[in-house]
Amino acid sequence: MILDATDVTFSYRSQPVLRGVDFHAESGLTVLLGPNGAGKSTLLKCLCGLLSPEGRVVLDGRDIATLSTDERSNLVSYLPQDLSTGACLTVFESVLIGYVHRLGWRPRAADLHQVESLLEKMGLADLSQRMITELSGGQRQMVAITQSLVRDPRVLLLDEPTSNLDIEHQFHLCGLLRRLCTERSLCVVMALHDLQVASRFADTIYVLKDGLVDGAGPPASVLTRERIASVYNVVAEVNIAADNRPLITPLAVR
Amino acid sequence: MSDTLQRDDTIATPIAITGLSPSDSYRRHSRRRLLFLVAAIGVVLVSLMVDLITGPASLSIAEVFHTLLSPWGGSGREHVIVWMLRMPTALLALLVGAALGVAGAEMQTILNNPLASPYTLGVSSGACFGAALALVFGTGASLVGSTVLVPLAAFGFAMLSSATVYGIARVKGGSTESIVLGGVALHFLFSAGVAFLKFVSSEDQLAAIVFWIFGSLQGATWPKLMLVSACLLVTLPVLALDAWKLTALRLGDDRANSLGLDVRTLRRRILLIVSLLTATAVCFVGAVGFVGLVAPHIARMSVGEDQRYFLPLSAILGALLLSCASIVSKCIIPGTVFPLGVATAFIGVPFFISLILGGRSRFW
Amino acid sequence: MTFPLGFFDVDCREVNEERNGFTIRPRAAPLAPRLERLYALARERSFPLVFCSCLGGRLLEEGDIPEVLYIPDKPERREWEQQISSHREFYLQKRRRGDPETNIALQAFDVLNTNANAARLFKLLDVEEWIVFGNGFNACVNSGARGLLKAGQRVCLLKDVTVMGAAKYGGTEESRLRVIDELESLDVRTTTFDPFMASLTP
Repeated sequence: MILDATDVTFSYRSQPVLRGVDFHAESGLTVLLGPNGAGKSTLLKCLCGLLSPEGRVVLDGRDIATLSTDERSNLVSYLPQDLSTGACLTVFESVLIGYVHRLGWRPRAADLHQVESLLEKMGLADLSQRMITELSGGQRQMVAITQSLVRDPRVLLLDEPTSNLDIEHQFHLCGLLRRLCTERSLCVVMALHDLQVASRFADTIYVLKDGLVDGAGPPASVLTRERIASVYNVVAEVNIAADNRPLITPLAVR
Repeated sequence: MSDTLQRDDTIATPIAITGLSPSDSYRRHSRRRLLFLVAAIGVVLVSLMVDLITGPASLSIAEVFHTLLSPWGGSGREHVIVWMLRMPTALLALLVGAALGVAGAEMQTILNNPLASPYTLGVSSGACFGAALALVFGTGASLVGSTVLVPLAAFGFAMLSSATVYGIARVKGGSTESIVLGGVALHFLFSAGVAFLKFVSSEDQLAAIVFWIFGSLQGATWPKLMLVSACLLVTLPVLALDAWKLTALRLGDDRANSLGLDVRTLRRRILLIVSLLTATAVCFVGAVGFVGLVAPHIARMSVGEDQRYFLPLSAILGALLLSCASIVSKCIIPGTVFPLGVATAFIGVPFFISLILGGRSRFW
Repeated sequence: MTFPLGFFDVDCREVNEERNGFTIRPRAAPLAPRLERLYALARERSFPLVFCSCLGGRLLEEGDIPEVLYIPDKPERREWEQQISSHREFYLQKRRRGDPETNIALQAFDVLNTNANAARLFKLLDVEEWIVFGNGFNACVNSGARGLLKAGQRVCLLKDVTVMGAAKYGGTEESRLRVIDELESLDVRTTTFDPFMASLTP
């Protein structure tokens, strides 16, 4: 699956947020970095069709604007940053809702079965009758991802999925996403703040600054001392580890 | 995929104990909720019976039952009392309660806010204002006026106020505070509007307004029942068709959108239905608060928010609440009938508070 | 005690200024000749006459008129039951609760809903058919007739011995016709004054 965006431009009330972004992702883990307000969330919403920007977003050769709602939501799944909900639903129910486009009054046995096997794969089977409101942030993130997966999407977009997680859960989640990329040849794009996590897991990194792409490529080529200084205004020590991934130690505000 | 997120192994879920697979325990959960619904309907029927049995005409239970079993049989004294006087009142309580319960449930769903209800967000007072406006400036005294124009105006203003609340929710990102504050403000605005209309109206108009706003179950007749039933019959299937979408809506707009829902259109449709249900309810029993707020909460605590259960249970509990209120209104002082709103609060509030303090998130 | 007939007079008379007798309420003045004949008939034949006030007029107070048995609205008062057999006129206590708005909200016009002893009185009197007439037709008479029905009594309405309620309580010709329709559908017999009187003279 190839996700291709050209010259994406978007403004909120004449306030430009994206100013001609070119973006390309294939199956694998792509991370969007950049300071607050750089346009990461907006780019994700443009990629999934929630926002209609100027420019083109193309999925495997088809313009996303020409896709029907069902086609679009089958291909691309977007998880917003804020997954908190007061909904009184069990884990099983909230995963089942992934099929909302075709659920009848009585859900089909095949769908129930599919939900069950996904829950088992994701290690959530024991939680299936728990209410999602009772779950920890990490568990809720997992439930949301599982819900996204029921339709077997080709692209998964996540907005800061690790922001509420402790470091162990961050590693669990990112490891899982990497595995999904390879097992399902899924194209995962996620916005992150943590440079170290990005550097550790990303196949490709895009750095956004003021609505423009400041740099794109594998972690080692993008996460340089100079770029961190110019984009984040932070002095950092960058060492390249044995696996050719940079180790970043922020030192001071410039 | 062994190395997944299984941190909280301390939670011994009942499923783990029974060894049921997730889909089997889901099925069992669904069956239990269905049973719960059936049981709730049973309780409503009992409440209806009690409502039919209570009254000043010391009819024995046996007499009431006997009369009930022969709906077309004769036109004796018992028949008139049971079928023509008590039954319409009792059924109107059920239907209006159901309408308010559903309206509250769906307002809470589309505004994503547990404090939403037709009464708390000014939709009822909007309906009252619309009716008052029609009574003062319309041809309220004529037959066309009172049977068509007034309910229409009530519906229009109910619609206007729910649309305003919805607009506030959209502009301010749907925060609880802005919705509730906006709704409360609307409630006061429309109440002030009604007060203003009372001030400028003639004596007849004033009385008409007051009569209308303080409707009561006592004036129930079969034709009125038909109207309320028709309203429910039209709206409930529409809501039922949207059941899964409404459930998905509770995951948040962005998520629902990403799942392929047209959130805006869905909201507008539901808003229209909520306004219709509220206006109908207000037309017949006046602005009874509370039912629309409490019934959905109890329903949510009992069966969760899968709308296939949540929606009918909200209706059933709304019906039960008003039906019990109708019984209580006849029993507070034997031989007299208390105003319905008072009785509703008397039974609803203690129960509701005990639920809140009990803190059980669900029974099933 | 069993009676073939009883009269239920809604708000046609009020206690006079000296509180020692009754006058016809100004609103019911057009009915005065008929009312007088009905009252006389009740006295002659010893039919019970129950009456109550509506939302206007002077309220009778307990002890004002000794011949009239005062039926208090509080459920705990039961001593009046002993005195029924020595009386033929009964007044159902009614309270007013303020302005028209409050009266309507609290349904103060509905004597059978607000006087806890009313249904009991009608039951003890054991009348075959109550002849209902009065003032405040759409509110007080209507709810009185319905109240009698709910209490299991048989009701006959004298259509031309009624006066509409004050406009401020919603009295219009349309509401009058609707009320008559509704009452008839509830098995209330309706008739007019002349045939009714004729039916009593063999």
